[in-house]
Amino acid sequence: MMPKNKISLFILELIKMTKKGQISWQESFHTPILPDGIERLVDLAYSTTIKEKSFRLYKYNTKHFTDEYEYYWSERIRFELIDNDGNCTFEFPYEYSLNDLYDAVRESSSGINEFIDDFLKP
Amino acid sequence: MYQTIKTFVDSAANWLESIGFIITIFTAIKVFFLDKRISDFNKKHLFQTRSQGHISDLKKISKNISDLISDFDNKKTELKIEVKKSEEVAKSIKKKLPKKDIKNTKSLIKEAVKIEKLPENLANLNTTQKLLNYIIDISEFNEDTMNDYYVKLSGLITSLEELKKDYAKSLIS
Repeated sequence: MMPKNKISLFILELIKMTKKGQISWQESFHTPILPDGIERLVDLAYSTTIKEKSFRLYKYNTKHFTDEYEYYWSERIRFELIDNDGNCTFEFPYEYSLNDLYDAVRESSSGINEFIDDFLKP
Repeated sequence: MYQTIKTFVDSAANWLESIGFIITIFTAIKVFFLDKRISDFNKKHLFQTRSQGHISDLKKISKNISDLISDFDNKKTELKIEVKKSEEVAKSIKKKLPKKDIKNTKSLIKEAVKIEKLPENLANLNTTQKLLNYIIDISEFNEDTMNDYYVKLSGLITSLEELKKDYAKSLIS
C-alpha cells in the first residue's frame, strides 16, 4: 500500500503545476462509468497526461442511505489513473486537497484568467 | 435466646454493611463512566451543531494556501497569515471535540505554532536573532514545511468531515 503522505504531496504538486501552467488539463475523452442510481457525474470530467500516464479528475454525487428509503446526496471528487480506454486502473484515496486540485483545474482549463487579462488590456 | 438474636443481627449488619460498601464503589465507578459518556455526548452534539462554520473556514484557508503556495517565495507573509488563521480555527474546533478525537487538531495547532516562530528569511535577522539562531540553529520558513502543513490541514478537514458523519449516526442511534 502506498503511504498516504506520498499521495498527499503528489496531489499538492499537481495543484502547484496546474497553477503555474506546467500541466494542462482537458475535458476527458472517456466519460467515467458510474454505478447507475448510486453515483452521478457533476459537471465535466478532466484528464491530463504526465510522463505517459493518464489521470482523470471529476466531481460526482453519491447517494447515502439513512434508512431503507431515505437518502441524501453528497458531493465528492474522484481522482484516478486510467488506461488508454478510459478504464480506472488506480483510484487515489479521497482527501480534501482533491477539492483544491479540482478548483485549480477548472480555473486553468476554463481559460478565464487569459480572457480577463485580454479583456482588461488597454 | 437474646444473645443468639444479637449475634445474628450483628452478623447480618456486618454483611449488609459490606454489601452496601461494594454497591457504593460499583455505583461510583458506574457514575464516573456515565459522566464521561455524557460529557462525550455533549461535545459530540456541540461539534455537530457548531462545527460546520469552522470546517468551512478551514476549507477557505486550504484553498487560499493552495493558491499562494505555488508562488511560495513571494507569498511567505500571506502564507503565515493563513497558518495563523487556521491555528485559531483549529483551537476553536479542539474545544468542541471529545478527547479521543483531538489528535489531528492538536497536531495541526502544534505545527502552526512552530511555523509562526520560523523566520521568513535568515538574512533579515537582527544581530541578537542571528546569535540566537547560531546557538539554537533555527531553520528558515521553507516550502517543504509549508507543504507538510498543507497536507496536515487537508488531512484534518477530511477527518473532521468523517467525524461529522460518524457523530450524526451515533447521535441518532
